[in-house]
Amino acid sequence: MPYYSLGLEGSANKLGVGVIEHPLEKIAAHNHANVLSNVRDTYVTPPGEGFLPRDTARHHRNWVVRLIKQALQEANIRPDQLNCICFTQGPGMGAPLQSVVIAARTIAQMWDLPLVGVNHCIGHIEMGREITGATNPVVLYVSGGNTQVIAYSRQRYRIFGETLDIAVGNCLDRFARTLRIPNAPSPGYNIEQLAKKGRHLVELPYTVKGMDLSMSGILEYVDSLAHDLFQGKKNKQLIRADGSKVTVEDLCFSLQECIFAMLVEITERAMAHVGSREVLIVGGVGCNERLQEMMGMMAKDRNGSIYATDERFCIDNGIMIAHAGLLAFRTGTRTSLGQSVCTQRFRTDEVFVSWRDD
Amino acid sequence: MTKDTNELLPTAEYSGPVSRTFEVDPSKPHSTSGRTNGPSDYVLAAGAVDRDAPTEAPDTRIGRLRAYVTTLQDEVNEFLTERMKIKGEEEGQDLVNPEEEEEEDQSGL
Amino acid sequence: MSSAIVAQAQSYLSGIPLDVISQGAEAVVFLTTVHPYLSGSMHPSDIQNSSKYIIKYRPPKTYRHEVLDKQLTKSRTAAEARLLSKLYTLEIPAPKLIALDAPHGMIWMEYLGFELPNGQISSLKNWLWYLEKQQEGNTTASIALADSVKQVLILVGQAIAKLHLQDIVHGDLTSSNILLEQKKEGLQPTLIDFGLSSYSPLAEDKAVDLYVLERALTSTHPVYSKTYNKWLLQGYEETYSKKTNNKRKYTEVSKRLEDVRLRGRKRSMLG
Repeated sequence: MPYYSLGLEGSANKLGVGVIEHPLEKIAAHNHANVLSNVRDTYVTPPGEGFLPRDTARHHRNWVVRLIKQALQEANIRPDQLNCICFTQGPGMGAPLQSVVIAARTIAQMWDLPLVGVNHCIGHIEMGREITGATNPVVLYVSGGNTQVIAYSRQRYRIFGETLDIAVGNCLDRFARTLRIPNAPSPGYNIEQLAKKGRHLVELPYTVKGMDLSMSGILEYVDSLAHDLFQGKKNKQLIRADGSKVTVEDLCFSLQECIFAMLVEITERAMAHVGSREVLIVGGVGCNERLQEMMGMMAKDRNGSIYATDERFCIDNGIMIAHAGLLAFRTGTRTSLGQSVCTQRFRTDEVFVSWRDD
Repeated sequence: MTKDTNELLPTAEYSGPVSRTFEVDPSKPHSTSGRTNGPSDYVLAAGAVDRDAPTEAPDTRIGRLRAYVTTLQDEVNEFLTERMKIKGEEEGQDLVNPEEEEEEDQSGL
Repeated sequence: MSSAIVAQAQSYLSGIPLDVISQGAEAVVFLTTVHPYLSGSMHPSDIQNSSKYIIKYRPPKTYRHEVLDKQLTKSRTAAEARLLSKLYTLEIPAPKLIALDAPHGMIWMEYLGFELPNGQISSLKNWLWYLEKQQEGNTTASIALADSVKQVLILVGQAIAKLHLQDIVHGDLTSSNILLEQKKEGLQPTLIDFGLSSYSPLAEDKAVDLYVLERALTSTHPVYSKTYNKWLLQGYEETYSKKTNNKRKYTEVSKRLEDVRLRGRKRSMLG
C-alpha cells in the first residue's frame, strides 16, 4: 500500500491543502510522488493595502474546514487511508500559522494520526525537486517574505546568500502599493505585466554584496522617482535619451531588470562556489517569466540547466507541505502535540534532512 | 439523546491576578457570527467585501459546539481587552490601541 | 563553459594562448604564458611564476540589460585594477596588476597559488576541503583543526584587518577568494577577486564584509566553521590592537557585526 499524507499551509495570505501519494521504496526519478489534490484560497485585501495578521488568520480559520473537505474529496482519499497530517511550522506570520496548526491538531486527534511539522522553505525546495527532477540544484528561493540562495550539503539545506534587508517579493509589492496596483495573484505579478511594456532603463542602485544583496535602498530610490513622476516634478532621471518622458512601465521594467540581475548574479556566484550546474527557482516570485528567462541565459552560459515550476507549486500551497512532511515521516519524524508549536522564525538550515544521504 | 446529557459544552479558565471561569448557557441563543470575530475596522473602512465570514452552524452536536465556542471566545476576548485597559491605565498608556501600529505585514507569500 | 565566451575572449587577444582554469560567477580566468608587452625572454623579476600569467575576463552577461551590463563590466574591471595597484603600494598581499582593458572587461595579472596534492588550485576552500576529507575516518590526529590551519586563518583575519584599516571592503569574501602560497615561513594567504570591492569608512560595511565571510564559511565548511571563524576574528582583532587608536575602531566593527548577525536571525521571520 502506498503512503498518503495531507498537508496544510497557511504561513502568509494563502491557505493551501493538498494530498500526496508516495509509492513504496525510495522516491526517485523512476518512483515519483503523485499529487492527488492541491487546493488553495487566497485572502484578498483591499487594493493598495497589505494584509494584516488578524484578518489573514480569520480567513484561514473560516476556510480551512471547507478546503480540507475539498482536498480529500478531489483526492478520493478517506482520512483512515492517511499516514500523517503535515503542517507548516514556520517561518511565517504568527497569527495565520496559529490558526492553521489548530486545524492540523484537531484533525490529527479526530482521526488518530501523527503530526509532522514542516519548514515552509524546505517544502518549496522538496516540491521543486520532485516536480522538476532537479537532483542537487542550487536553489533560489524568492517570495514575499524570503530571498535566499540555498545549496544542499551534509544533510542540511545551507544558506549561501540572502537579502540583508527586505525580500524581493516584498520590494515588488511595496512598489506596487506605491503605484496603487493590486498584489494578486502572486508577488510582483502586476509589476511584471507593466514591465513588459517598459523599454527605457532608468539607472537604479545596484547593491550586491558577495552572495548577499540589499534591496531597501533600491526601493526607496524607485519610490521617490515614482512620486516625482506622479507630481510632475523635474528630474533628469525621468527624461529618456530621446527627450521623451519616462513612464510607470519604464520604472517597473527598470526595477525588475535591476533586482533580477542581482538575483541571477548571486545565484551564479553560489553555483560557481559550490561547483553546481543546476539551478532551481522556487517561491512566488519564481513564477516571473523574465526572472526565469534571465536565469536560463545564465545557466546556458555555464552549460547548466534551469528548473522552475508553474504557479501551482511556486505560489504557497499545501501539497509541498504534504510532500516534504511525508518524506520526513518516512524516515521516522513525528511531531508530538507538545512540540507542535509554530515559530515565526525558522531558518532553512535548522532542519536535519533525514531523507537525503547524498 | 437529549441536549442535557450529551451536549458538548466548552469552558475556559483564566488565572492571574484575578481569576475567572467562562461557561456557556445552552438555553440562550448562540451563533458562529460573534461580536469579536469580524473583519478589522481597517479592512471594512477600505471598502472590502467580507467573503471570509464563517458558515452558519447546523443544529448538530458539533455544529452547536462551534456556536458555543464563538460565544465563549467573545467573552474571553472582551475580558482580556478589559484587562489590558486596566493594565494600560495603571501604566499610563493605551495597550488596546497602541500608537505604533502593528507592523503591517509583508504581503506576498 | 560556453565556447562562445572563449571565442569572444580570443577575438580580443588574437595569437595569445588561453587556457581556461576556472569560470567564476562573473569572470572567466585564463592562464597564459605570454606577457602583454614584454617579449618572450623578458620576464619581470618581481613577479612570481613569471612564465605564467592570469587573464581575468568578464564576458558580457546576456541576461543583463545591455546598458546595465556594459556599465557594471567597465566599472568593476576598472575598480578592480585600481585597487590591485593600490594594494601593491600598501604592501597588502594581492596579485600584481600587469595590464588593463576595461571596456572589454580584461585584467592581466600575476599568477599566484600552487597545486594541492589532489591536483586542485590552492584556494583556502580547496585546501580546507582537502584536509577535511583526510580527517574523515581519522580519529587520532587533528588534521582539519591542525596548528597550520589555525595559523593560516589568523593570517587571513590579519589580511582582512589590514584592508579594513585602509577603509577598503572586499565585498565578496569567501574561502574560494583566498589563495594560499607556499612561502618559506609557511602557507601565506592572499586575497583575490576584488571585483566587488569598494572604499568605505563605515564600520557597518566592514561588519557586513566579515559577516559575508562568516556565512560563507558556515555553509562551505559546516563541521569546522565555528573554530575557523574564531581564529579568523582572532587575527582580525590582533591587527587592530597593534595601535591604540585602532582599538576603538575594532570595538565599533565588532559591535556592528553583532547587529548584522542579529538582523540575519530576525530576517528569517517570514515564509
